[in-house]
Amino acid sequence: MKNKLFRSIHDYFHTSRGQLVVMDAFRTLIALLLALVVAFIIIAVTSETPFETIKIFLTAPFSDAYTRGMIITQAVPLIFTGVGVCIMVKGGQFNMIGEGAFFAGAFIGAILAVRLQVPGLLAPLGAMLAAGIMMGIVGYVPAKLKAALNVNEFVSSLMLNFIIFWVCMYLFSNVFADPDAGSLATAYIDDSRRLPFLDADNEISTSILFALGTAVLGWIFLYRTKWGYAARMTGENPVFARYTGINTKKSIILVQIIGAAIAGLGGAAFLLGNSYRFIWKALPGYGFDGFIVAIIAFNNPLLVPIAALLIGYLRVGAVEMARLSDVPNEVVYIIQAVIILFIGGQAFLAGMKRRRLQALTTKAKEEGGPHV
Amino acid sequence: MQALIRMEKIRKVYENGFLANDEIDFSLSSGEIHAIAGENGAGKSTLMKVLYGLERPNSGKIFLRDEPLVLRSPADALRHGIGMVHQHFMLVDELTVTENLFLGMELNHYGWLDKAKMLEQAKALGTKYHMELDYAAKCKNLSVSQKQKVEILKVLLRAAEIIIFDEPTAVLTAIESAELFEQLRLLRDDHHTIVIITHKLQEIKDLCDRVTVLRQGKNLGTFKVSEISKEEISRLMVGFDIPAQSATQGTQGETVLGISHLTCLSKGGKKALSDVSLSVHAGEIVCLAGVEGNGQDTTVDCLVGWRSDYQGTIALKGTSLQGKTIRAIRSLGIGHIPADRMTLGANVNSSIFDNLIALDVLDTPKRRLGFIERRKLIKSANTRVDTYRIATDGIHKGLKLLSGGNIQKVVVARELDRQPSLLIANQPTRGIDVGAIEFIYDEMRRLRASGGAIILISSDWNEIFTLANRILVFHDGKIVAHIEDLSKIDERVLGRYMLGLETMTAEGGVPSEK
Repeated sequence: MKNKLFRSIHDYFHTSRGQLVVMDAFRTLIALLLALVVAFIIIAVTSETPFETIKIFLTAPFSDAYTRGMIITQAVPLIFTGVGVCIMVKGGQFNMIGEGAFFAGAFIGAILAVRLQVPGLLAPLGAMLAAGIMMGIVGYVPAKLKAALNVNEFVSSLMLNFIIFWVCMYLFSNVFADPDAGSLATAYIDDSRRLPFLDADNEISTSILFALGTAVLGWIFLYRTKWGYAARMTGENPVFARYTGINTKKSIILVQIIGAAIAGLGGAAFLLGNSYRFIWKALPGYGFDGFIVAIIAFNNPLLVPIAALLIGYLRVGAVEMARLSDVPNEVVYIIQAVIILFIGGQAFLAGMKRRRLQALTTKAKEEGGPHV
Repeated sequence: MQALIRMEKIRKVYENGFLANDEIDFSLSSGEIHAIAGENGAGKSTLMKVLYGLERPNSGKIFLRDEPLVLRSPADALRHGIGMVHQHFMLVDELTVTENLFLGMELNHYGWLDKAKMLEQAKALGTKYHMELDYAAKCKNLSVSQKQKVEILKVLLRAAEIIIFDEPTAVLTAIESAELFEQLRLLRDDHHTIVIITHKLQEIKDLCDRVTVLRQGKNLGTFKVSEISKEEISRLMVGFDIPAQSATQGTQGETVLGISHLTCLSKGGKKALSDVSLSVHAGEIVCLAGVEGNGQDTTVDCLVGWRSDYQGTIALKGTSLQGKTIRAIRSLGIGHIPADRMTLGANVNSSIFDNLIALDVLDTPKRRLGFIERRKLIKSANTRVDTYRIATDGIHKGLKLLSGGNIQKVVVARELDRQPSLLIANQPTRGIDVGAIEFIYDEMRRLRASGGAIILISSDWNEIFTLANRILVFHDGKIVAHIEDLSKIDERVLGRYMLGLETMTAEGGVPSEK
C-alpha cells in the first residue's frame, strides 16, 4: 500500500505536468525568498532592533488563535476575487471588474440583508445570490463590448469600475445612509441576518466555507464542463477554438460574467460574514489583489486558497509588525508592495521553465518515440 | 568567380521537429542577383534567416570570403555587411522616413539630434539609387512600395553589401515590381550582391543571374538562369517523380460534396475564386493542385465555414452549407486537417487529451447538464493514441512536448476517428518525418476504402500521385484543368497548367463537371 502510494507520487513528479508544478512552486518560493531579503534590508534600515522586528513579522501571525483567525479572514476576499480572475484569465480575458464588483457586491449585500423580507439565514444567502447575479449582469457590459466590437476589456472594465463606484457612493450617501450612525454607514445588520461565525472568539466566519466552495466550483467549471473546456481553448488559442467549432464569442462573454458574479458574491459574503455594516468610502483593492493571487496560484482555482492564505499571512505579519515594532506604518506598506511585486513579477524566472521544456523536447526527439 | 558567402551543410530543425534545412550547401558570388526558389515550406526563408543571424543552425558553417563567420544576431550580420528586407515591413509608423532610416544610429551634434545632416545623408543615398521619397513624411502615410524603399535604404545606410529580399514582389503591383527590379539592377551594378527569395518563375527569368532551387529542406542545385528553362525550374521546385503505379481507381460512389459556381473575393477586393464548380464522391481522393494562393485555400475556407461571404452553393450530401456555423458544418460530418497545425490544427498550449477530444467535448449530451463525459473521453483518447500510434506515455502531457509528426498524428486522429463523410486534408504531411507520412497516407486510404470522400490540397507531387484519384488544377481562382486519369498526364503540361500558361480545352472546353 505504502509502496503503491510512493509509486504514484513518484510517477506524478516524473510526468512533465508534475515537473512543471514543482518548477512553478520552486519559482514562487525563490521569488518569496528574494522579496523577504529585500524586506529585511528595508527593516534593517528603519528599525532599531531589526532582528526583533523581523521575528515579529514572520512569527506573530501564528502566535495566537486570534492572529491565525485573522489570516483566514484576510484570505476570504482574496479567494473570491482570485477565483474570478482565474476563470477570466483562463478564458483569455484580462478583466479588472473584480474590483468594482467586489465593492458593489458588498454594498448590495449590506442593504439587502437588512431589507429582504425573509427569515434569518435566508437573508444573507439571498443577498449574496442577488449581489452575484447583479454583478454578473454588470459584467455583461465589458464582455459584450469585447465580443461584439473587440473593445479591450482591460480598459473598459477599469473605466466601468469608476462608474460602479460612484453609482454605489451616490446611493450610499443619498439613499441608504443610516442617519443614526456617527459617520457614513448603512443600517446595522442584525446578528441573525449575517453569516454565522465558525469560531466566534477568533472571528472566523462561515464566509471562508463559501470561498472554498467557490474555488472548488470554479475548478469544476474549468476542467469538468464543456463550457469550461470551450473557455480554456478560447483563452489558449482562439483560432484553434473557432476551428473546432467552439463559439468563441459566447465563451468570452461567459467567463467575464462568471468572473464578475463571483467577485460580487464574494463582496457580499465578506461583508455579511465579517462586518456589521457597509462603511467603505474607497475601492478596497481586493479585485486587484485577485490578480496577484491568481498569478501565484498559476490560474488554478484549487490553488487559489493556498495563495490567498500566503498573502493573508504576509498581511497579518505586516499588521502585527506595525502594532508591535518601531517600524512606521509607511514602511510596512512598502514591504507589502515589495513582496507582492516580487511574487507577482516572478515572470522573470519563466525563462528557466521555457529552457527546461526545450531540453525535454530535444531529449524526446533524440530518444525517438517508440513508433516514430 | 570567388564565392563571397559560402554556407556548408546547414541543418536547421525547429523546436516542433520541422526539418527546415537538411544539410544545405549554398554559395553566393560577389555582384550577382541570386534567386532562391522553392515551394512554401521548402526552407528558403529559414536558410536566409540563418544567413541574417535570425535563426541559429543546428549544424553547419558559414564563410564570408573564406573566413568563418558566426552570426548570433541580425546586428552581427549587419556588421559583416549582410542585410535583409523582410516581407512584413519593420518600420515605426509614427516616425518620419528619415527617423526610421536612422533608427538606432541617429547622428548627433554635441548630444542634440542632427536632423539636417541626417536628412542630407538620406537624400544623397536616395538620389544615388533612384529612390525618391518624401523624407519628412510619416511612414504610416506611405504606400507599400514606398515603405519597401525605406526598408531598402535602411539596409543600405547600414552599409550592407549583401541584401536579402524575402518575396519582395508579393505585396507589389506589376509596375511597382518592374521599378523595384530596375533598382535592384542598379544596386548590382554598384557592386552589391542580392539574394531574392521567390517562387515566381518569371521574376527569376527577368532579373536573376543564378538560381538555387530548394525542395523539402534540400538543395537541388544552383543553375545559371540563362541555362535553365522555367519549366525545368518548376519541375525541380515541385518534384516531378511520378511513381510507377498510379493511384488505384476507387469505385465512385454517391456525390458527397457539390460546389457550384463558387465566387469569392479576397481581402483586397480581387476575385479569389471565380465560378468554381466541382464535386467529390464517396470513395475517392480529389486533389486540388496548384501554386499556393491560387484559390485552393479559399475554397477550403468557404467549405468549412471559416467565411460565408461567397456566392454560389456548397452542398454536403444535398444540405447547403451557406450561413451555417463552423460547429453545424462540422457536425454534418466534415473533418479538416488544416495546413497550419501549430495554430489552427492544434492547441499547443494544452494537453494531448484536450487536443484529441476537442470535437467530442462539444457533443456532450444534454442530459449531462454541461458536465463532460470524462471517463468516456479519456478512454477514447487512449484508444486514439494507440490506434494512431502517437508516441507518448500519457495523454495528459503537454502537446508541445511531441514532435511535429506526432502533433500531426494527434490532428489526424481527432479528425479521422469520427469517420467523417468528407475529409479536407490541407498539406497533411508537410514537414514531418517519413514514418508519420506513411502512416497518415495509410489512414487516408483506409478512410477512402470505407467510403469517405477526401479533398487533398498539396504542393508535394509525390503525395498527390500516391493518393489522388483525380486532380483539379487551380490557377488564379479558376479550375484550369481536370485530370481524370493520372497515368496519362504529361508532367510538362501539368506544370504549364499550374503556371497558368495553358488551360485544358481538350475535354469540352470548360473543366468544370457534369
